[in-house]
Amino acid sequence: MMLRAIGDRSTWRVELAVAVFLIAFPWVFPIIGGYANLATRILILGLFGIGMDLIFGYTGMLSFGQAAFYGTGGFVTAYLLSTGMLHNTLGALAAGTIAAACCGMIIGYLCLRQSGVYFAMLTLAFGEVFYFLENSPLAKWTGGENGLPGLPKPVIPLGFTTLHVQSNLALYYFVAILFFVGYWVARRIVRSPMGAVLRAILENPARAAAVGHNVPKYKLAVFTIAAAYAGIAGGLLGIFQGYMPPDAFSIDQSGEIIIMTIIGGAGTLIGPLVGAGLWSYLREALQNLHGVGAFWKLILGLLFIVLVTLFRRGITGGITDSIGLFRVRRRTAAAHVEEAPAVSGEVQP
Amino acid sequence: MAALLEAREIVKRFGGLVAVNELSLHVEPGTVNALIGPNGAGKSTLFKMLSGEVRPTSGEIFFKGARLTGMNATEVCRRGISKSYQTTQIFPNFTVIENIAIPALANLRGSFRLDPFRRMRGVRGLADLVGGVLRSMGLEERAETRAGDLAYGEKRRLEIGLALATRPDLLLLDEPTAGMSPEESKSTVELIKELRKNVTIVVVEHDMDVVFELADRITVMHEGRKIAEGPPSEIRVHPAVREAYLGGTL
Repeated sequence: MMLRAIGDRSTWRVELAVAVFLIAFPWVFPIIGGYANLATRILILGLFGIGMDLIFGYTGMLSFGQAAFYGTGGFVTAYLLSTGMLHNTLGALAAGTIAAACCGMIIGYLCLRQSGVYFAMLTLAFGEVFYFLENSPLAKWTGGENGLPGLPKPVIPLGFTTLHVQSNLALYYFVAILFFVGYWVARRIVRSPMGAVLRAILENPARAAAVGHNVPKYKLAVFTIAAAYAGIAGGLLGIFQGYMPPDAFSIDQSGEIIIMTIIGGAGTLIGPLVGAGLWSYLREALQNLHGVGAFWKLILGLLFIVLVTLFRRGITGGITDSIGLFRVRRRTAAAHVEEAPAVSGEVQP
Repeated sequence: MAALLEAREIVKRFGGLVAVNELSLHVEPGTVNALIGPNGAGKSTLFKMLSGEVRPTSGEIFFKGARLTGMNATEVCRRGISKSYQTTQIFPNFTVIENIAIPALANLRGSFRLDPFRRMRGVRGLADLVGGVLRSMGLEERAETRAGDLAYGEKRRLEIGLALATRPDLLLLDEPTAGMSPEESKSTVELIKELRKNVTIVVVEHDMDVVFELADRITVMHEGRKIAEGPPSEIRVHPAVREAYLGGTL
């Protein structure tokens, strides 16, 4: 008898496919008009979305306040680097990520006293609170409406040498490596016993609690992890742009990451990347299209409606479901052939 | 003998309604206890208080000598009481084996553990526990089936399996044969007879044949109160019971 990871039967091949994609992406993307910086931006949103997917797609908690952690991670990282307090980019990223995770733990603790719609509304409120804090009381450190400019290009001391990430392509691979690590960690999480409990909470929270799992603690843990993902993504955004924008904290940002996760496919981990890719690419393409540019939001909105209606599990979910269906059909067809005599034998008394 | 579970004059009020009124219950280890009574007698509310889902308005519940009153369902489960629900509460998109793994993980890992890098096969004893429950529920053939696709009778057995996989000392069965065909009902009775060798059972049941076949002791409830208690032979001929519940049809 085999006890595999719950709801996920795929193996290391998925990681391999993702790694190959990440390596090839900036080379293939220009064929359809993409470029390295757009690819980097997509990966950053994809990393942010992995956290969103862990809470929403795997545990069933819808947060409208993820921008709070994206912004926190971004501004802590940007502050440390732009003031020259830290020169090591990875150190600043780690500090930003830890700060975002701490905020996530506190906000999570407060919001998780409620569930469902009330939880979502509380996260929305905290998201707004953070935006306000950045803009006014903390403007001395965050630059307020102007954000924080002057972030240096990544500097990574490796002991024997120091890497200076200069070109756009090098920056892409720097982000791609961190994305891959983030993706690999998330895959381990969802395939672990803890991940099984998270999925059980998504499926039937009352029963998960009744069979002995401390549901509030698991929710807080995964909310904190999601905040860490948002934090590292926010930090990367500042480093990538050389500038940390205040609208990382905006409600639009929280909304966009939800949309990307849903159209890409919640509960798939890679879905947010797909959603971010589609969303960002179409935005660029549509805006540059003569006569259509002004309507890009309308077109993306309609696309969102069509995708949500057609694929309940997003693009990635739609693809894996059809592959799965195909496999099951083949297997059942084979099983019918093999079992046919036994079945007819049972029917005859 | 010392009681495994003892409820002392527990009361549950919902606004003006007294669902359970000063009820005391005494469950001895190794026995099967049935709880019967007409609809609205308070059986399900009593069950919810025993499983920690509902907090009694007053009174005390003791389990293995320790006070249980005020604990939530998770804590009560950790102490060794597990309930199978009247309306099936499974994880429909999980396979059967995955369903059983969820309570088994709670039993083996505790109520909370941060082990995001552990693999499922790294949980010691999981395969044995899940396999054992599958066998005793007769669901081995269906291990890889999606729980939502099971036949009704199988879903009911899985429901009991979920409670069993927490390795309880006391199993609460809320109408285990509800909605079953006579054959399914019969095989469920056989299954419960097997279970009782290892675990103490309290069962709420409407089917009197099932009750009289299984129970060592029967508690009769009517309008929130206990009106009779005793072995099946006594309950069968108890005048108050016949009047209030059985309507003289036995």
